[in-house]
Amino acid sequence: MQEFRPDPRARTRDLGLARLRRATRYSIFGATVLAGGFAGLAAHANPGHKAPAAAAAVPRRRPAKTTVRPAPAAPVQTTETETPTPAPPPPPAPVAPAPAPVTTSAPPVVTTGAT
Amino acid sequence: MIAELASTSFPALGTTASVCVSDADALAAAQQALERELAGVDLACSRFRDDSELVRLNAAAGTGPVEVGPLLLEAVEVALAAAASTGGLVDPTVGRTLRLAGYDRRFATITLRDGASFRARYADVPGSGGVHVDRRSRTIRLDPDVELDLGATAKALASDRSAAAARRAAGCGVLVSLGGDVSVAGPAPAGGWPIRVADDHAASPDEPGPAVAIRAGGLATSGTTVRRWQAGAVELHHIVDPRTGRPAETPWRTVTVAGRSCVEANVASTAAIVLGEDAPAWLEARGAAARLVRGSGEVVLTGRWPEDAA
Repeated sequence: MQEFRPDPRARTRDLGLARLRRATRYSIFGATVLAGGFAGLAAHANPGHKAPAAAAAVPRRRPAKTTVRPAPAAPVQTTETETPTPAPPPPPAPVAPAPAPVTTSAPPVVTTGAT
Repeated sequence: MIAELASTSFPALGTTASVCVSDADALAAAQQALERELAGVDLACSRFRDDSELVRLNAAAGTGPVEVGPLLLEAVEVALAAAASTGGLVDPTVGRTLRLAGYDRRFATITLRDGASFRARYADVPGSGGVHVDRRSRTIRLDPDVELDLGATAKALASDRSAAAARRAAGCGVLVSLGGDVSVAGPAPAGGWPIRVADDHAASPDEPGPAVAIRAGGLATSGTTVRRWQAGAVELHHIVDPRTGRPAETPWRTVTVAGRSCVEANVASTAAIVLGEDAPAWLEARGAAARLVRGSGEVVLTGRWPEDAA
């Protein structure tokens, strides 16, 4: 009966694959944690998304402002995002803001109003 | 160049349809595409045509599923999505209470009724849970007492669909407005599409007042000042609060919202009317650029809506 002797090359390959699987698992876990952290910070980065209920009762005319607002701060650029805290439940997927209108002095082509 | 814009308007869907193109030579093709779309939407979604799919569907409430065409299927799905995204503030199952309240015929003929002797009645709004859509079999089943009205979304959907169709047909930038529900497609003219903001969509674009320009998406205005009718001693309007089944009590005369589509804009503007005082915070939380006008004329802006020009 011939003794089974594993091929050293196969053993090297198996060890490499095992390392690759571990690295993949760690990467997925790490990415999940970081994504959760980023999402949580993003949810708090823009105060407009956390408007207190009281504000609803006191609508007001907004002060003058520029017609184009700077892009929201990218949370991934902050150092705080690296804190390896447990990931909070992911907030709802952020929705890209609608294109904002701008003032114009051109003669209007149509009117929007109640129907 | 603004000077190259060309436009035309005509009556449709009980209101005014307008199409504007950035290449004057393409106006006829764009208009034909718009007319085709509107004819399809009217046949699928009208509450006031005996031969419409929606009338047939409403008549079958409480019975088995009804096979519908792709346009009504899409319109109902859009309406259900609006209900879901607004927590039921914009709900297509307001049809029954709207009919009982007096909006039971084309609006142009409502004014012919003797409003002083008319008595409005109301019904609870069953909610969109009573609408069952099966995309695979292209059928819709309505629970008993469910009566759909797609007025809050179908016109805006028609604007979006028409703008896309006209853009394909014309091969240039296109703006479509259906009673003030505006959708644009294709390359915008330099400076964007200039649009006047007013209480009434029928106001001439040439009249003085605030104007804004958009380059993509849509713009819609909901209001309580225009589509009104007499019911005895009171005057009613057409935007129903699904929570009460009655015309919404709101401090806002008009709410105009910009959106990534006309549907998105119109859903937000209608929800804002229903929400009343909570509307600015609700719009801000969604990052919506909006202009709200109180009954007193006071203007409230949210999101990135620009200040009115002095």
